[in-house]
Amino acid sequence: MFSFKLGLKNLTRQKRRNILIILVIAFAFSSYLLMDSLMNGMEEMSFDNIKNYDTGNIQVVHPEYWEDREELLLENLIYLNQDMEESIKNTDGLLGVSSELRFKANLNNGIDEVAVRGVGISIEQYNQVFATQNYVVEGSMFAPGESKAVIGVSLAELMDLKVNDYITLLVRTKEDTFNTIDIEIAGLVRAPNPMINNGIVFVPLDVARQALNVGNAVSMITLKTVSGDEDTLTKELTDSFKNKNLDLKAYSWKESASSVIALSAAKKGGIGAILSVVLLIGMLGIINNVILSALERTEEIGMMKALGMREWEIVFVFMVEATGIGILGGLAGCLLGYAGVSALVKYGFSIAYIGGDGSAYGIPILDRIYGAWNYPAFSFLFILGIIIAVLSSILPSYWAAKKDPVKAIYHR
Amino acid sequence: MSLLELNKVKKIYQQGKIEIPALRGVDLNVEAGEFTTIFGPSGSGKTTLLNMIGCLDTPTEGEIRLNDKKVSDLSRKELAMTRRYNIGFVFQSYNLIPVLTAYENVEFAIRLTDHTSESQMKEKVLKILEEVGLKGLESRRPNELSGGEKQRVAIARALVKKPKLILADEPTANLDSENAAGVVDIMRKMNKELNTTFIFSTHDPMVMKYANRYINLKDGMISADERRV
Repeated sequence: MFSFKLGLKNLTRQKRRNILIILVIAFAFSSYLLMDSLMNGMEEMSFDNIKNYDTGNIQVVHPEYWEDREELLLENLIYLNQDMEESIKNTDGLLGVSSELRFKANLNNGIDEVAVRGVGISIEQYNQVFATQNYVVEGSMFAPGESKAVIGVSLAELMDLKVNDYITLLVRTKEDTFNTIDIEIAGLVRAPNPMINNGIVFVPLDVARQALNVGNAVSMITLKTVSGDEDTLTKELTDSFKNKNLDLKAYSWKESASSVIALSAAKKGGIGAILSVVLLIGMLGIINNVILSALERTEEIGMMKALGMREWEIVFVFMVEATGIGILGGLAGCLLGYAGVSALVKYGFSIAYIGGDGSAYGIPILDRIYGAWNYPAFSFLFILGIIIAVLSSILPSYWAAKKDPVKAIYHR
Repeated sequence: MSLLELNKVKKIYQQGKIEIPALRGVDLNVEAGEFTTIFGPSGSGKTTLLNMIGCLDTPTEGEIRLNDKKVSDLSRKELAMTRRYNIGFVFQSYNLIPVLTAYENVEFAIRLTDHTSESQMKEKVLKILEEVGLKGLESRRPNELSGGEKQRVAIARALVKKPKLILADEPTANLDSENAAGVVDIMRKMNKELNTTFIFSTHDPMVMKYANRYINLKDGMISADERRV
C-alpha cells in the first residue's frame, strides 16, 4: 500500500511535464470522441435523410427495374392491381404507402435547360411517407388535384426560377416519343437531403402518367414503417408477393443507401485508425514519462534497491504513477470530449467550407452535420486508456527497476 | 562469532579490455556492536568495499559471510532480501524521497519489513525520529530540512527497521563541522544504545576520532587495522 501511496505522490513531481502529458492524452482522447460523434451523427443524419426524403423505409419494385433503377427507365413498371394493393394493405406495421413514377426529364426555363429527375407523386400519399412538405420555404406543396410542380431551392437558383414561374419538362414517353409538361411552380423546397434540392421536380402523379403515357403504372411503391421493422417487413412483403405470383420485390432502404453504408464502413476503419493514433499518442506520452522519471530518479531507484525493494515493487511504484497519468488524462479527455460533443450535438459542424453541400461527396447532408452521443465510446476509451497506461508503463518501469543498484546510487 | 567476515575478497571492474582492480584481496572480521571507520585516499576502494559488505555488489573472488551466512554468491532476489532485513544504508547525498515527509521517508523503510499494526508502526517511527533529534519536524519535506536534518532522517530510516549492520558512505561529506559532529554523535549514540554495528567511510579526521576501530585502505588492500580501547 505504501508503494501505491508513493506512486500517487510521485504524480505531484514534475507537475508541468505531467500536466503536459495529461493534456496531450486529453486532447487525443477528446479529438477521438469528437470525430466519433461527428461520424455517428453523419451516419444517423444520412440514413434519416435517405429514409425521410428519398426511399422511405421500404421500396416495392419490379426486380428488373431495381437493377437499373438509377436509369429511370419506363420499363418494368408496376401496374397496380387489387392483389398488389391487398398484399400491401394486409401487412401490419405500415405507417404510410406512396406510389411514385420516376422519370428522366430536361427542365427548360425558356433560356437554359438542365437534366433533372421527375417524380410523379400523389401528394396525400407522399406526405404520409416523406417529410419534404415540412421544408417548403417558398409557396407550398401542390394540393390534391392541382396541376403544379415543386422544385428544390438549389435548382431554382440555378435556373433563376421562383414560385409561380412556369417551367417546361421535356420528357420521352414510354414509346420513346417526345412530350412536354408545362407546369407552374407551386413551391420551393429546401430539404435536409441535398439530392432533393439539387435536381428533382415533383409533379402530380396523374400529370406524369399522362405525359409519359404509362397508364396507371408507377415505378415504385414506397412504404413508411416503424424504424427497425424494415428487415422483417421486407421479408414478409416479398414472401407475400411470391405467394401471389406477383413479379414484385420489397427492398429495405439500406439497399438504396449502399454508398452511404460503404462510407459508414469506411468510417469504422477511419475511426479505428484514429483510435490507434490516439492510443499511440497516449502510449508514447506514458513511456516517455516513465523513462524521464526513471532517469531523473536514478539515485532514488538505487536507494530503493539498497532498502531491499524487489524489482516488481519498484515497477509497481512507476506503474501507479503512469496509471494515474492515464486516468487523469482519460478523465480530462472525457470531460473535454463531453463538452465538445455537447456543442456538436447542439450547434453542429458546418460543411459549407468544403463547397456546397455533402451531395458532391455522396453524403446526403445539406450544410451542417450534427454530432451524435455515443456514451459507450466514453467508457470504452476511458477503460482502454487505463489498460494502455498500465501496459505501456510495464517495460520502461522494468527498465528502470533493473538498474544496477551501485550504478544507480552513485549515478554512473 | 563475527557478524561479518570477508575472506580474500577481490573486485575487478572491466572497462572494455582493461581490468581495473578495486579490491585486491581483503580479509576482514567485524564483531557485532563495533563502530568502525574505513578511511583512505580517493580510489582506494572504500565505496567498493562498503558495496560488497552491503550486498549491493558481489565480489569477483573471495567470500563474504554476514551473520554466518554466505552472501557473496546469492541471487539478486536473495541479496535484496538480505539488504531489506539485515542492512541499513546512509548515503553521502541522503537520497531521501522529495515528495515524502520526514515521517514518511522513515515509514517507507519500516513498511518493507514490519507488518505490525498501524499504531505500533507510528509509535516506532515517531520514537526513532525523536531519538535522532527530529521531534516536531516529522511533517517537513526534505526541501524544508537542513543538510544535517536530512542526514538524521536518513539515519532514522536506516535504524528504524533495527538492522544488524548500518553502512554509511561518507555520511558527513556534505555537512558543515557542526552538523557533521551532530550526525556522528547520533550514530555513536545509536551504536551504544541499540548495539547496532556501524561501518562508515570518511575522509574527515574529526569524524574518525569517534570510531573504536580504524581500517586504512590503500590500493584496494587493508594497510592498517587498529582498535581503540
